[in-house]
Amino acid sequence: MKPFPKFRLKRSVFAYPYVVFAIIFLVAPLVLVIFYSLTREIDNYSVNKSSVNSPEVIMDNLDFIGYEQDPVLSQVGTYYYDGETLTVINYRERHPETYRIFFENEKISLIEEYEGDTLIDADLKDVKFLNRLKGVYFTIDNFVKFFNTGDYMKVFLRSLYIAFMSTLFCLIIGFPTAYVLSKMKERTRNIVSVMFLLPMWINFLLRTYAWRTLIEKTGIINTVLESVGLPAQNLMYTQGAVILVMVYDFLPFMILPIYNTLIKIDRSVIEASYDLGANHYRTLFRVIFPLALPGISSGVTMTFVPAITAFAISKIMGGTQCATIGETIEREFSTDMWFGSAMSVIIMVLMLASMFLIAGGDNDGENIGGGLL
Amino acid sequence: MAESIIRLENISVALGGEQILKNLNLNINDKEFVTLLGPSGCGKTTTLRIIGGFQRQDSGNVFFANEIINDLPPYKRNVNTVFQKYALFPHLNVFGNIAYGLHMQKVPKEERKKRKQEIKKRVEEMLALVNLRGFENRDITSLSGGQQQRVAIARALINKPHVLLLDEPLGALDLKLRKEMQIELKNIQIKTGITFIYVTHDQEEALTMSDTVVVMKGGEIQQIGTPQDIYNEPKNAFVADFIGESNILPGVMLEDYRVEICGRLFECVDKGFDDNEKVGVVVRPEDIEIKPESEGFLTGVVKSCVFKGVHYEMTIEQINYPYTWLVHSTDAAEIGDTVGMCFYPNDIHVMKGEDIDYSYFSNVPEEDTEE
Repeated sequence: MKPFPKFRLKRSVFAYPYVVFAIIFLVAPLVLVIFYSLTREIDNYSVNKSSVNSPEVIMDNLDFIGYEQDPVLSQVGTYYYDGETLTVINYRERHPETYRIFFENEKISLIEEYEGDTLIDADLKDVKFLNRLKGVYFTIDNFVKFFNTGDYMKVFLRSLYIAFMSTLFCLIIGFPTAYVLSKMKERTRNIVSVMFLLPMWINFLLRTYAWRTLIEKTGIINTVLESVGLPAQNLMYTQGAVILVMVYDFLPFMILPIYNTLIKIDRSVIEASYDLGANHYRTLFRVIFPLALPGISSGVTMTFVPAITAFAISKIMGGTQCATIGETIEREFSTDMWFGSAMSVIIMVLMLASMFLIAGGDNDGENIGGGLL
Repeated sequence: MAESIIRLENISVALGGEQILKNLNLNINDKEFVTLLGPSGCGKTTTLRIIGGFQRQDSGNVFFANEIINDLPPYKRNVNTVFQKYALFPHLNVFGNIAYGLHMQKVPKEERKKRKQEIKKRVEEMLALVNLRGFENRDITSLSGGQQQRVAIARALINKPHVLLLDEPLGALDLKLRKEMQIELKNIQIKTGITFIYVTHDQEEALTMSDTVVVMKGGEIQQIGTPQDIYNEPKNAFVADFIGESNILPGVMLEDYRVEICGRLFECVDKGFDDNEKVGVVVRPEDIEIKPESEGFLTGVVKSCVFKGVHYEMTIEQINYPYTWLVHSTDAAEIGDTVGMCFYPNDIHVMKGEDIDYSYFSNVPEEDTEE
């Protein structure tokens, strides 16, 4: 046989594009969030005072405030600048209106004085005679804020509890379901597993709203209860409602990995257990359960992680009473990206820690085979 | 003699519309090494699973020491199994695997402390029995096939079962290891005095180890007997063909001790057939001697000659009669030579042969039959 041609691409060459893709696709957002969490933005303005003296500049800048649409206001009467405050006096038909622009500590505010009362405190970020100072600085303030503010910790502990309970119920329902499923004949198994997967084909928000119509105050359950003559139950906006819907939404993620490990268990290993004197109950706990552990641990992670970060379910089902950390992060992120990032980093670290704990719990896991989907 | 430990009575099983066992009757005596031998799909493993309790028969009874155990689940039967692929618990180490059976036994509370020591002692005993001393803390996956096999045997023996079922336990081992294990298994059986029921499709294994061989085919028992019986006195053509290699050809029993095969009259040692009854005749290839053309009873042309190590395997096409003989001889013959063949009355085994499909047992190589 001829030797291979000299110019052969090393197989590893083909890995580089993937590595680049992985960095961009997987690592970049993560790095950004961590970066945000450790920084805050500087957004200050300094006054370019030399330009303030010119009335044209002031006229131009008042445009921004939105006064250009106002025919009266756009006719500025007099203005003057004393080095500290810019006063604009607008003569309306009867009485003058005075606007003062203060330059204090490099910050600026516009105040409309109307018969002695301060009426407007306007945002002047885009005023042209201001020099905007924009940048970031590293700080741990974001983290300090989280741990110093009692409310955030309370919300976090509450979401931990909700996520824990949801995962627990998922496991309690999921393991027996997966076990029964794995014992079924192939045909029935396929039908039943489709029944479990079917809800996943509907958007989870819709499923959540469906539950809402079931259990809300005037919902189907209460209607039925009342028609029977029983008192209506207050089910909505409770932790129970949040947990219920979370269990419903995340159950397939618990069942599937467990089911996958269960069907891979060699039938003869189970028979060997019976053979050696273990009854069904003992075989379940001494052989089947330990062998399903990889599936259980990935099922738990796949349920717990989305459960702790979920915000839509708690928003819809829990209202303001059961705000979860995911909901808080979402809200904070839209106003204070840096603090929101810090909160998600804290949760990510806690997740990592708990996953290491789970992985440490079964050292033999790697020998049995992956339980992930 | 020995008393019956396991008895199968009219056992029938159908799986997926296919009849696996047909009215099977089998008696297994205590302290015996019994081998169920047959080609794949003959129902030998199913028989074992019925004894072990993993498979429910459709009809018939299973007796254990003369008591019906049809409804007894596997964990209540005093029978342990060595599974085909060992079926060791991957999440337990060697000690955990072997001790599993002991852990499953119910122990009164006051004895629990002592129990731990006892389990340790028993596991060490078992490891010594299977030559695996010092392997207690090894991972199952770090063991070789032969070592896993030994662990499986130790695990099955620790509960001191009355009967040990072995389902092709040596199938995955290489030839040398298999031979070693055969001897070792036999030794363990003698040492422990446990009844072994061994399932295999390897006739050599069956002959080496067993006290009794049960040859099965298509869910029916073909012959039960000692290895010698099975080899020397096969009851039918299937057994003759399956156990060792053989020349099977039609004959006519003219009277006691006289049989006509391939157009010639031979003396034999068999009797008790009707006069002129059609029979099947088995001649083992190693019993045929190659002689010069003039000295043989039969003459033939050598068609092929293959060196097999211990002997040469030849096919010799007989002159004057359409049969190709399979001959094992330490002397080689040239292809195309005409040689003589002879064999002695002792070497001729006569069996009932009305319904034998002789073409199935033909020694003619495949290409020739197709033409």
